[in-house]
Amino acid sequence: MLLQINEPNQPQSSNKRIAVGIDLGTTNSVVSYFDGNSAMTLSDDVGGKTIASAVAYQQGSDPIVGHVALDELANNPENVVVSAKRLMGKSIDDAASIASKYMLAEKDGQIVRLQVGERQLTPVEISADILSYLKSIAKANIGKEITDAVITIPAYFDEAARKATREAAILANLNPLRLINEPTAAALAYGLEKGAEGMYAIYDLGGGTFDFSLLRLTKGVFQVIATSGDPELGGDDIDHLIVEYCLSHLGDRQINQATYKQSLYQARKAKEYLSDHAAGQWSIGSDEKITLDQSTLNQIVTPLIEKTIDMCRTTLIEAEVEVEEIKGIVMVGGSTKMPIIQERVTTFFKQRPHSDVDPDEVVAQGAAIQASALLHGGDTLLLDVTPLSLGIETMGGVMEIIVPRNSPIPANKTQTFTTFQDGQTAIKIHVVQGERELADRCRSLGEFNITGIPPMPANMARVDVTFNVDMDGLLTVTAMEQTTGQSQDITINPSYGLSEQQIRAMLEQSSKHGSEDIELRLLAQTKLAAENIIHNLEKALGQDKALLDSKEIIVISENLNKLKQLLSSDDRTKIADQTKILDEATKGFASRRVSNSVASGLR
Amino acid sequence: MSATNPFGILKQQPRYKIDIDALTSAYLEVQNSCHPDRFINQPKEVQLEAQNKSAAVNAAYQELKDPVKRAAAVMRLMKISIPGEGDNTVADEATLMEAMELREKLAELESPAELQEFIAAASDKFKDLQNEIDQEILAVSKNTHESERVRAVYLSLNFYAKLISSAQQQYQKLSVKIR
Repeated sequence: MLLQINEPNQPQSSNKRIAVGIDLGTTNSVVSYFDGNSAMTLSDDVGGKTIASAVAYQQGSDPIVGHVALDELANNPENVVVSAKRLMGKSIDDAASIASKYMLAEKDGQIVRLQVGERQLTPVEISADILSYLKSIAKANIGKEITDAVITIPAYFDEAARKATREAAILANLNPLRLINEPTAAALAYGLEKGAEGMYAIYDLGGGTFDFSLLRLTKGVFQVIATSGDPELGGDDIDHLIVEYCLSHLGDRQINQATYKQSLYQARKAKEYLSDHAAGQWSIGSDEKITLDQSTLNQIVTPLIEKTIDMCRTTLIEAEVEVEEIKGIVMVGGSTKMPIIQERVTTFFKQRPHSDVDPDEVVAQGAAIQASALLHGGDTLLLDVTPLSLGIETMGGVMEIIVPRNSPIPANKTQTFTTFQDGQTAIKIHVVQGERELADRCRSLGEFNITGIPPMPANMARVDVTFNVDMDGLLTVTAMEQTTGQSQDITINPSYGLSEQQIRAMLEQSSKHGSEDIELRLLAQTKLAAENIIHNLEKALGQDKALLDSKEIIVISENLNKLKQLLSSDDRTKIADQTKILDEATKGFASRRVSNSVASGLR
Repeated sequence: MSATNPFGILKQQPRYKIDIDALTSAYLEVQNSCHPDRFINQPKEVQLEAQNKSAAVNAAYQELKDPVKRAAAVMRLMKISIPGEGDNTVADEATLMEAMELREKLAELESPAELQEFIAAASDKFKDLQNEIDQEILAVSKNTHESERVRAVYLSLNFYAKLISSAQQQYQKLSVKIR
């Protein structure tokens, strides 16, 4: 076979594979491409680089992804899914514990499905819709079909969540070249740009997950020393805490699902605003405005931040690394923009975190660099670890660790099993992941059977079972019976999650329905944005028409009608232009309404 | 050298005392050449082979980095049987008593300061034992000693590693609780 050698910086011929880096986030997603010189973050048609991980499902149209979908929350919350990532790889019971935030569909086996309008969708399908939108953005930017992607995941993602992410990529018609851990990706992008050497700490607080990683950077090798985290701790939880705080201040008010979703969105806006303002007012849990200031917010989030600091401390102790040895702290994830988090991290690590990286873009950029290095060769090397111990259930339900956490991957470990009955021809093995002593407290990955053991007296058979953790952190198992020398690949029946047939069926479905045509997607998006502005404006006019003089009313209604008429056409540019014109024409109105409501709120 | 010899895999002299930094450099160098990321455009079999090789390199590094596992690796090469691995040597009575007393003492410690002191003392002893086992191994290889002493020191080394690890866990639980 001929080795293909690629000259760096040479334009790739069109038949070559094109790989991008994707940060598939809980709140926002980012797609980046490394062109041989630098990693560029790709923008959608309105120049946005962070794409909201929100999907709006409307009847008769393709799913709409991004900020437009997020805005749709105000009008049709039941058609919009946000934070689907939090449910990736979750069992139905796990999902039920966070169900207040989601609309779980009626139980149907062990698979988590969300009720979205008329549809019932799995988190994998929703993530696939986000991925295929990112893919279409990349295609529009690069001008070529995207075939492959390196997708980042929280370092602390377990096996099921990793698998679900791979499945989402396959559903989106993207070859998942590699899954890499978000903090590691961030370190790669940061380290390469700054030429960093030595021990670095990555503090990654995203929308849904917290990760902390220690890495040693040596001449282009990025060696992860240890990683820890919490897959259910992130900006989302801060939003929930804010909503809960407001509800308790409203006398433990009960609100419905839709209002809760909208309140969460308002809470998020409040949190972001309070990062550089002292105080403000929002409608959280009630139509009336509630005032929040920075010190209240700090109080609300302190317990959560302390939890992250505890994890940093534990990781350092276990890795036998002193705070003083750390050459730099890199902050990743939108939540790290909060001043209180910056301060707390500074005190703990006795140094200011680096602020010269964009915490939103750095992860996708690292993934893009890795994607290019994998496909075309590169000088860098990522050496990562498994975040969780992998083991099996033994007698008495005790978990026996086979591959301990923080083991470098890939990892191979062989364990010998025997039979305990005369003539036994099969052994059942239950694989679990986690740090608890009892197997039922760990996450169950599934069970497998070793079959075809020749009948012999108890304790005589010797079956070597090899557990393989691959570069994506995924487990494969092979078994070999010593007397016959026969080996077999073992399929693990997942405790939950999708079977291969289900994935295949979904793939067929999606290729029938989903359109990869960026134009159609953009049109749907533009129309939705226009509909949103029309809806909001009509509502505003109904309430505050008195704030406008007759001339203004004429200008606004003319433009409003024009936009309404254009909506029946499929002319994206015209609709977009008219939306902009209408937006301009109503700016004065909007600001008058704001000051009016602030004034009435202060009265 | 056989594939199961971690020293061979990482191109190191098979001795107990090693320079951890040199070991890490060697590890990174070997890993750089066999890592699966280097073979992603190759046929499946080549990729699988790279994965196995890379996993073996990882395992060798983990083994040699660990003072107890490294001792076992050297003993294995010297055909000294290893307690707990088909060898039922147990520690002498004095050592067992000492171990029991230390365990009891640890269970009674309640303040982080006391625990830190305990960990520091145990770590000093752990370092002494590493020097001791190195000497004993050298003595065996020069045929001036029998291998029992190596096994005895190995048992102590193993005990102290576990003791320090439980003390650290206790310290972590305590410091989280106090805050």
